[in-house]
Amino acid sequence: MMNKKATTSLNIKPEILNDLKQLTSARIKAMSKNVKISIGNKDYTQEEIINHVENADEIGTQIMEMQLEFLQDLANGSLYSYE
Amino acid sequence: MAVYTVMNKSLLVTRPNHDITVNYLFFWCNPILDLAKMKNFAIHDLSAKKAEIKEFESHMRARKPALLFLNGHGTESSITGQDNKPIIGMNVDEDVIKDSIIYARSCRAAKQLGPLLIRKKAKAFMGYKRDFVFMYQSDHVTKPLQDKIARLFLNPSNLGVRVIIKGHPVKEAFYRSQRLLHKNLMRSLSSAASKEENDAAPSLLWNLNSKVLIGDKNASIN
Repeated sequence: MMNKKATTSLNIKPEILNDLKQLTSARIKAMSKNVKISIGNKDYTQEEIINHVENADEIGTQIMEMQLEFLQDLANGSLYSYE
Repeated sequence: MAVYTVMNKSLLVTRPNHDITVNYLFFWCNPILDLAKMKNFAIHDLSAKKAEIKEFESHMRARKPALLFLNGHGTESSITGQDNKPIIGMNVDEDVIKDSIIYARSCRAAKQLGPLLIRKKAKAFMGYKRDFVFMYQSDHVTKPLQDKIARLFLNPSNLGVRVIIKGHPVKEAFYRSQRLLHKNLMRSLSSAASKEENDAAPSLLWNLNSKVLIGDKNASIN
């Protein structure tokens, strides 16, 4: 599972991928230790998520995609409306 | 001559409980079953070991439930029941799902399975085109209904089914469910939010952008 290749493509340059890994890991590290996240057929602790992000495997890539989507929608303001 | 309207007010729920994720979904079906009972629905509750393909198909063929609420793990082409065994997939017969309104609380099934079920004459399909994600408090795994973080995710998804049970069209169910999810997202970003609620924001947005409704958007139970 840990070395599973990512099936979701982030389609970004390798140097940016490194930045995104660091940004995502920092955001995950700041999360409360009392919460777990359920994705697909498994649930993950904070530490497990960070490992997946560092390996940029399928789960790690999905977590990065989730954070990127959130930050982009936050920055462009689209997150604030739903119609 | 008197004219009678036959009301097919019936609900079939599949809800395995073999791991923490599906156990949360299992418990969060309870308020739905309570509402359906109150509204005099015929209820077919395929829970735990009963959530398996033979039981599912035989109930669907015999009872023809108007509303099908599937809870379980999923892929683009299937949804599973107890012990991750497929309960419905691309080879499902048309007579199993014909005329049903289907709500799949599972990962990715809206990508391929949902459109196929519509081609096989299901009335409408509501589900997620990407993974359905939720967060929970690790000290609440034995009492999922009291988990305030899981509630942010599971209450809006429940609302979709509640609105259909109350007789409203699926497009309204979809809209109200999405509105509540968005309201929870806004709450998680507010200064009133707890640290854990704030952590949930990216996952709430993910679900908001993953849910789709296909088929007859005006379909309802009546």
